[in-house]
Amino acid sequence: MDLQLASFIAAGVLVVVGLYGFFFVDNIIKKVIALSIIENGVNLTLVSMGYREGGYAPIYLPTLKFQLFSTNMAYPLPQALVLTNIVIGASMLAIMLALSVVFYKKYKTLKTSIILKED
Amino acid sequence: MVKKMDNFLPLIVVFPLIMSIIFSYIYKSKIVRILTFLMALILVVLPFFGTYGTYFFGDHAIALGSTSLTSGIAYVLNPAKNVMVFTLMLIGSLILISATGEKKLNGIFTSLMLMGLASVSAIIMAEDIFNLYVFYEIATITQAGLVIASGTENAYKAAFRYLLIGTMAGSLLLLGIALLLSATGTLNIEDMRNFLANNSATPAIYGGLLMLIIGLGYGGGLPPFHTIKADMYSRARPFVASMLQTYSKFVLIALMIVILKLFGGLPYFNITRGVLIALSIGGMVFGTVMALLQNDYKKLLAYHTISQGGYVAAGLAIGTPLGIVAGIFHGINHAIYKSALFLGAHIVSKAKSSNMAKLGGLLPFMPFVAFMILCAKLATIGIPPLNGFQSKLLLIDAAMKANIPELAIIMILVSIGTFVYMMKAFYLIFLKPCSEEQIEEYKNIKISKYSVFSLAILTVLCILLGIYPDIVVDRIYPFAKDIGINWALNK
Amino acid sequence: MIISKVGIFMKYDEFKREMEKEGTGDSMSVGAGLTGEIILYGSLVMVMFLLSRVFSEVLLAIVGISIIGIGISTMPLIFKFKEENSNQMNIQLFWISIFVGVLSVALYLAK
Repeated sequence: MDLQLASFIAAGVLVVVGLYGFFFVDNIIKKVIALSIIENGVNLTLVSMGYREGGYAPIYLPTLKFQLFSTNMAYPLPQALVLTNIVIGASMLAIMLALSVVFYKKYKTLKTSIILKED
Repeated sequence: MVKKMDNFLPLIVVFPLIMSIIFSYIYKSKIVRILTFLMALILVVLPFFGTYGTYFFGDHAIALGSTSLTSGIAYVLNPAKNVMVFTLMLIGSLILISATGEKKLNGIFTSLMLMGLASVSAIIMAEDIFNLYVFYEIATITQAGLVIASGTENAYKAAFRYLLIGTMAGSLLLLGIALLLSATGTLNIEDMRNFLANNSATPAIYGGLLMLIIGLGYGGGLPPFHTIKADMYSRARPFVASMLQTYSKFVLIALMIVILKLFGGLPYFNITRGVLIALSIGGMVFGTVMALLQNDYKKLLAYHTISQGGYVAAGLAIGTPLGIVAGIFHGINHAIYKSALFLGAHIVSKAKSSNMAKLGGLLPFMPFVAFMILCAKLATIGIPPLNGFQSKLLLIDAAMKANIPELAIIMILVSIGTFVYMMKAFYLIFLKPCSEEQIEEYKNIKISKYSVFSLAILTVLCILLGIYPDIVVDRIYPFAKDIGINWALNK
Repeated sequence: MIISKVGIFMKYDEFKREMEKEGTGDSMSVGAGLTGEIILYGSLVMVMFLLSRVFSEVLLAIVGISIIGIGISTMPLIFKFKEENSNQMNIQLFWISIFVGVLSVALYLAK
């Protein structure tokens, strides 16, 4: 199978699994994990968009021939986007996990239906 | 094409960002209060630094035959965006001024406020859809941080909800952007618009549109995300909430403009326009009905924000030039009078609590404040000669011109609901007879002069824009004419 | 509109009792609640008008009217509405998932 297609399918599966986990699992930490799975799925989508079979990493080295490099280079834009998104995702994850710790100390449970119930 | 202009447009975004980093380092210092006041003064003049036009960061243009694509971040400033940025900065400045009157002011709060102002003004100006996403996420974190800063357990919960769902919506928005990038090969909104206008739709484009709408719903607080937003506004301290609602109103306008710009004139946008109108009707009706049921003044105002967000979205969703003008104008008006109302709630909640059943008879103790709150309330109901009247008239006119009288009727119905709960709140807080003990308690109230000052400026703006709406409308109109299309429901 | 008004006034006592249960039985709050009920139904009727006009289908109008009829028979609807709009996380997530699903179907059909 085409590697790029396979990678897209994997990304789609990750997003769907993440959405399922986020909506239907009643555990705060698992919800956060599911969110990070969605994020990774999106990142994989972006990276596989820039994939080129037998291509070079988009870093120009003096040893490469310019003509060969410019025609076989992977698309660099998505990689830059992914890098940014990973940083944002990490900061979000940190805040959410910190808040989860606070809630666990207070309620001694991780169930969303108890912690985030109606008030 | 790609030319670097000699203007200081990036300062609007970069300066608050740098200052927010500095404030987060000196948060314990004693000069924070003075510096915050100074920042408040600088913020008002900041929007005038940029000159109109496009600003490119770096000179990376890819030439493909005859078309040249822009790669790299670009910001656009035009009169309409300048008005929005100015309103945002003005409200931010007034909130910072009233924050200097607070006892527990620390640098982290100012830092978060500035970061939010920078990111929302970047969202308004960004011409690059990925840059928009980055600042969208920063705005989410900032808003959650501002809610957490109020320090109660309920605030923690509201912020946690907001972050959980925000991460989901943000990821989906990025997925949409990825799909659009794969379909069109560019991130620049103008280039993407040209591509979409000249090529037929593919499944990736539909997917991108879907994800953009999810991001819009979350960013703007349209249903079904309204409960999360309302929760957040009501848990934050009221003068913080006035900033939060301003952020989300402008995020709503900016994202709506992006969607209209990209897809507005395309034949397959019709059903999406229907979906957007349905969402805005939902926002209006759900917000009002929930507000009518509330006993807590802060919660009432929170749901009122949702319902007015529905108005803004309705105007923009209609998509005619008149509708876009009405939507943006109503958004600006809403940001102004709603900030006034939240500041009023801040002053009132100093008296005792925000529970309306426990208040009453406050009128003799703060007659001037009560008058200004009444002005803001009349503006939101849509009584002439206040600014809410002008924009609601435009909205209803836009709905009638697009041949959707049902939408106009719903708008009027919702206005009646707004009247009922606003007058209910005014009666219960200021006019209801109260006991002797309460009067004794009220005598000790100290009203912060800074808050009253901010409230007064906002009230003056309400009246000014009500009498001279052209100040804003004339600036928005050319922009709206550019992105709007003329259509009417012919059935 | 007329139907919904009749429906409300017939069950006024019930409505007041329900409001008193939540400690908001004063005349002002009951009035506000009734206004909310009228707005909810009024906008429902208006949306039905709009939908039947856009899709110009008699069937849709009939379905809409029967939905309103069922709604009126389970008066007052506003308390159920309030329950669904509570800030319990699971209810919020349920509606968001429904929203995402409906939106995808709508845009898929638009092709």
